[in-house]
Amino acid sequence: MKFGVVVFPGTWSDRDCGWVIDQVLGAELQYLWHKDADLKGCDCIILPGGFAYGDYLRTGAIARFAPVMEKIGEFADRGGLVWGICNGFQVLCEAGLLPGALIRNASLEYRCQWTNLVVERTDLPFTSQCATREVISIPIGHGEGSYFADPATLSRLEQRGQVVFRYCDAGGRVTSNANPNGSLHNIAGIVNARGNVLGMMPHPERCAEAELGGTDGLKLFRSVAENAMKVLAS
Amino acid sequence: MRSLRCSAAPSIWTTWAPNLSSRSPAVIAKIVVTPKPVVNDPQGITVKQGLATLGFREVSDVRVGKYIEVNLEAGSEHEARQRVEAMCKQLLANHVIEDYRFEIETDGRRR
Repeated sequence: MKFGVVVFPGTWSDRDCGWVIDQVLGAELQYLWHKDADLKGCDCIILPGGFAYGDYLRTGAIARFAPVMEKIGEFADRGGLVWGICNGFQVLCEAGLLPGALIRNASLEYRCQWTNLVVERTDLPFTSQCATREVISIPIGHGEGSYFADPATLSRLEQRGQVVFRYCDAGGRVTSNANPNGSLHNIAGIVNARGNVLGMMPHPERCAEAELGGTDGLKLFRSVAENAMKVLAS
Repeated sequence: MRSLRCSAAPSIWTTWAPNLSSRSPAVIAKIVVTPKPVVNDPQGITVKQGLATLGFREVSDVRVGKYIEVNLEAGSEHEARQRVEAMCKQLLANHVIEDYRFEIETDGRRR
């Protein structure tokens, strides 16, 4: 099982993801430079957090032109697992691999805090190690994480069960108080219709060891490690 | 799903380019990008509150967007419009959340 972690100029969470993959999970790690035109045999591609290309114009707007993105689009079309975290989620939306967009937090503040997420899909390769409607605790760190989609897209996402994570309180109740950024329907993460491209604003790589305050993020990495090979083989 | 897929991204650079001669006039496209009316604009709301605090109570709404100036060469105004339209659609505005409009200026004249 080989994880590929994409590095754009301005990416900052690549080493955190790499640490979890390499040191905590014990899986194979390959960094992919934004100019790379091949994915070097990776079984899952992670687009980590940060400010790719300085977030110039819009978050993710320039990153989608990187040579590596063309290969990631083809990889996703073949059913390969693509996982966008924070800035990576913004890049996937700009690239059209996921619907909608991430806009400025309703508070206008950069929010760096722990959030509770209810896991609404556990049949995905990204979440198979989570229990049904489990509440997991994962930190966020973003200024532009408010999920927006037009009403038709939003209702399609809901009907097809493409909302994977929703901000909630500790008891799993999805309330406006638990929503840190003004995301529509408290959306923290969505998956494409096929179920192989996941985007999420919270940072699972920041909570994969007890020393860092929690290990819920490791469940997602373990899920991917367990399933990525099967996904590509099927 | 947006129509512009990343796999199609390089097409920006490889799509048909106008046949420019050294005499093609330089024009300036003045582009305004704004959040769509249905998109929550917390910056606009905050600016509106600030204006109200200063006594501008006649203000009913504020939308904060961005202004982009593009200098380009074009054989005609029609051609310039087509090219700038394509720039807006493919990169300068995100049609999920933003609207855009622009003016073309040639020789200092607004069109």
